[in-house]
Amino acid sequence: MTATAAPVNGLVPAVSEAARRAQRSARIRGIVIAALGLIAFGLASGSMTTDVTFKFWLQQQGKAFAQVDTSPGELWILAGIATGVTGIWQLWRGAAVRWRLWLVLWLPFWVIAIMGHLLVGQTAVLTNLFSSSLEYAFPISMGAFAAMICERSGMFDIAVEGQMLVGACAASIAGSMALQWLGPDAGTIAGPIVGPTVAALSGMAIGLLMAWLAIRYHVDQIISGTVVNFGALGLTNFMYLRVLQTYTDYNTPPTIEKIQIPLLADVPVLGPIFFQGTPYMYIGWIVMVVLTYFIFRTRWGLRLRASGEYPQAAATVGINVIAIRYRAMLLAGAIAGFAGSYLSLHSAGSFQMNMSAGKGWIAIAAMIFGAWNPIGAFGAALVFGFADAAQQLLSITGVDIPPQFLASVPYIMTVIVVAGVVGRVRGPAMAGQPYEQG
Amino acid sequence: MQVSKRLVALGATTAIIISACSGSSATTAPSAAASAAPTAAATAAASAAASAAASTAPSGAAASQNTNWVACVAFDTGGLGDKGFNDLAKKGLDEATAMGMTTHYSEAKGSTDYAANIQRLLDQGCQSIIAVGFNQQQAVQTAALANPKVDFGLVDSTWDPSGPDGKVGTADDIAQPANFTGLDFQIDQAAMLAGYLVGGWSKTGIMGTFGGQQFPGVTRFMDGYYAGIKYWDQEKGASVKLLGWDAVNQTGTFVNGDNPWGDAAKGESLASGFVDQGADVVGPVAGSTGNGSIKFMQSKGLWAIGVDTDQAISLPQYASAILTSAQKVIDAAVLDTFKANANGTAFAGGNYEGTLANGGVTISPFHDFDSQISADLKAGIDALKAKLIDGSVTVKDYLK
Repeated sequence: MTATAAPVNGLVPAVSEAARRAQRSARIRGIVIAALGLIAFGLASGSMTTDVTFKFWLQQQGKAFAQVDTSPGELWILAGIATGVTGIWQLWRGAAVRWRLWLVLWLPFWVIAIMGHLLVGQTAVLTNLFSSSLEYAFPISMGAFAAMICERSGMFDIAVEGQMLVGACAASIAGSMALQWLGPDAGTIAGPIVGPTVAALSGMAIGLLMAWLAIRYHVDQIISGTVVNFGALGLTNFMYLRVLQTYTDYNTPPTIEKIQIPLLADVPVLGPIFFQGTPYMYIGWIVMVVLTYFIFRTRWGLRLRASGEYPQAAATVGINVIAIRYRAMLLAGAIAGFAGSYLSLHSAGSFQMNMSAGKGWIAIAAMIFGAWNPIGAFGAALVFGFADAAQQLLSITGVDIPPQFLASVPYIMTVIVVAGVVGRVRGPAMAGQPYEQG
Repeated sequence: MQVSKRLVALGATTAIIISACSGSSATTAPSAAASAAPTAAATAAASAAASAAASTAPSGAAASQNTNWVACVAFDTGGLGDKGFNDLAKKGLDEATAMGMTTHYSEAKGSTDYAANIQRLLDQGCQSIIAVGFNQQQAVQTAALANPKVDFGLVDSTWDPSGPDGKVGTADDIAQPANFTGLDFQIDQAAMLAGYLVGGWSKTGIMGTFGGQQFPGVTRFMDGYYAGIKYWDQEKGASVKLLGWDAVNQTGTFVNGDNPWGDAAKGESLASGFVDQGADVVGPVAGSTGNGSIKFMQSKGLWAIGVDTDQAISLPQYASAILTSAQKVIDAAVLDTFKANANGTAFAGGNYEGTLANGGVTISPFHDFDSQISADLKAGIDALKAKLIDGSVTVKDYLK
C-alpha cells in the first residue's frame, strides 16, 4: 500500500498526513538497515582469517555433538547479505513492508555474527544458550500475554508484577501443603498440580479486585495497579519473614521437573534445545498459539478488540463491554499468577522475597515491543531471554564484556520501538479509559 | 469520584502498613550458602550430625581458662533451625555451657527488634554477646559503643568504621572499640583445598564457579578454588581449568540482577552452561541460586562444591552430588571468642580470624565420597593443608 491513492472524481488526491509520515519513516528505516548491511561487510573484511567453532549436542548433553567450523568474517558476510537485501527491499517497497516480520530474517544473523566475533578463537557449545533463552522467556512472555489481553479489552494491567509475586508465594505454600498433607508419594505428584492452580486462582483474585476498582469505581488503573504491586510486595514479604521463615516446611514445595517429549526430544540438535525443558515451556507455546487464534480469528476475540478500541460502538451492537472486561482481567490474572508459580516451583525452588524481580515490568515492555500481538510478544520475550543467556555464556567462556551492557540491550531496543524511531506501534485506543455503560 | 479517592487512599495506606510490618529486612543478607532449604526428611538427627562433623575445632589451652563468665548469643530472625550459621553458633554456645559458663540466648522477632533483643541480653547480665547475621551489624555496633564494659562479637563480619555518613575515610569515622570482635574467616584457605580436590577428582579437567554478586565475601571462595586448581596443575603438571572466575583480572560469572541469591532456576541454567562447556564440578557461591546448580549436577550424575556450611548436611537431598564444602566453623569461632573474652585477652587486630590453623575454616567431611577419593588425593590435600598452616604456601601466591 503506497501512499498515492487513486484519483477520485477527477480531483487531486489528498495524501493523508499519516500516510506521508509512514512513508518517510519507512525510507529512513530502509536507509538505516542498508547502512547496517554495509557495516557488516566492513566488519567481515577484517576477520576472515580468524576461527570460531560452534558445537551443538546432538541428543544428550555431554554426548555426541555437531560441529560448525567458521570464522567471524563468514558470519558477518551472511549478516551483511541478509541485512542488505532487507534494506533494499524496504527502500523499494516503502511503508508496505511489514518490517517487524523482516526483523526475523536479518536480526538473528547479526546476533550470531556478534557472538562469533566475541568468541573468536574459542570452541563454544551453544545448546544451552538457546534452551536457556527459551526458559528465561517463559515468565516474561506469559506476563506479556496477560497484559495484552487486558489492554485489548480496554484495561491496563500494571499489576502483572504483583500477580506474579503473589502467584509465586501461593504456589509454594499450596504445593508444600499438598506435600505435607498427602505425604511424600501422593504429594510429589499432587503438588505440581495444586501449586500452579492456586497460583492462577490468586492471580485471578487480584485481577478481580483491579477490575472491580476500575469498572465499578472508575479508579485510575495506573494508580490502583501501582498500589496492588506495592501491596503484593508487602504482603509476600510479610508472609516470608513472619510465617515461612518459622514454618519452613510450608516453603518446601515439590518441584516441577524437566520432561523429555517422546520422539521430538531425540531430534538431532533441535531436541535438546526445544523438547527437553519443563512443562511450563510447552504450556507457554500452547498459550501463544491459542491466544493468537482466539484474539484474531474468533467472535470472542473480535468482541475483545472492539471493547478496547471503541466500547461505545461495541455496546450499540449488543456487546456487554463490562462483562468482557471482567473476563479479560480474570483470564489475565490467571495467566500472570500461573507464570508466578514458575518462579517458585521450577528447579530447586522455594519462595524468596521479591523473587519476581521486575519480570512483570519487563513483560509489559515485551508486550509493547511485540505490538500487542501474542507472537510478537513471545518474540520480544525471547530477545530479553537471549540477552540474559548470551551474557551468561560469554562470562562462562571468559569473554570480558560488562554484564550490564548486554542486559540493557533489550531495553534500549524497547525504548527505540516505543519512541517510534523505527516504526510506530499503536495499542488499543481506549486502553485505560473508564467505560460508562449507557 | 469521592468513593474512588477514598478507596485508593485506603489501598495505599494498607499497602504502606503491610510493607512497614515486613520492615527494612527486604535487603537479604547475602550469606553465600543456602540460608535454609530444609526438607521434611531433614531431622534433628541430621543437625546433630552437622554438629559432630563440624567439631574439628581445637579446644585450646583449657588449663587456665576462666569459666566464671556469662556468654550470650543474639540470633537473627527465624535463624534457629537453619542448619547453618545460627545452629552452629548455638552449638558453640552449648559448648560454652558445657565448659561451665553461664549462657543465655535470644532470637530477634523481626528486623526492628535487633536492638531490643540485644538489650534483653544486657539486662540478663551478659558479659559477652555475639550476634549472628549481617543484618545485625548496626544494632551491635551501637550497643558496643554504648556498653564499653560488655564484649560484643559479630559472626562473619568486621567493624564498619564508616560512621553516620556511610563513607570510610571521612571525619565522622568511628574506630573499632576494644570491646568489639569481628568473627572473620579466611575461607579462601579452605576453598583452596576444595579446588585442589577438584583438580584430582574432575574427569573432564574443568570446574565451573559463579557468584551471586561480586562481593569480597563471595570472590574469596572463587579465589580459593582458582588457587587450589593452579596448585594442583603445578604439582602434577596437569592442565585443569576453572571457568567462571579469572582471579588475575578479578572478572567472572555472577548472577546479578534483582534476585541474585534466590533464583534457583538461573542456578540450574548456569550449571547447565558450565556443563555445556565441559565442566563436571560446579562450585556455586550464590545462596539459594546455588541450590538449583547442585540439583542440576545431581540430576546429571556430576558433582558440586558447597559453601559456608557443610551443605551435604544442610541440603541432605543433594548430598549425593556434594563432594565437600568450603566451610566456616562458626561453633569453634564462637567458643574461641567467648574464651578470649573471659580471659580478658584480645585477638591480634581486634578480630577473630578463622584459619585452617585454628580450625576456624575447613573442608567438610567427604561423606558418601569418602571411599571414592583415593588415598593419594587425600594425602595431597593433607600436605597442602599443612603447608597453608605453616605459611609455606599462601593463597595469594597462586592468584597470579
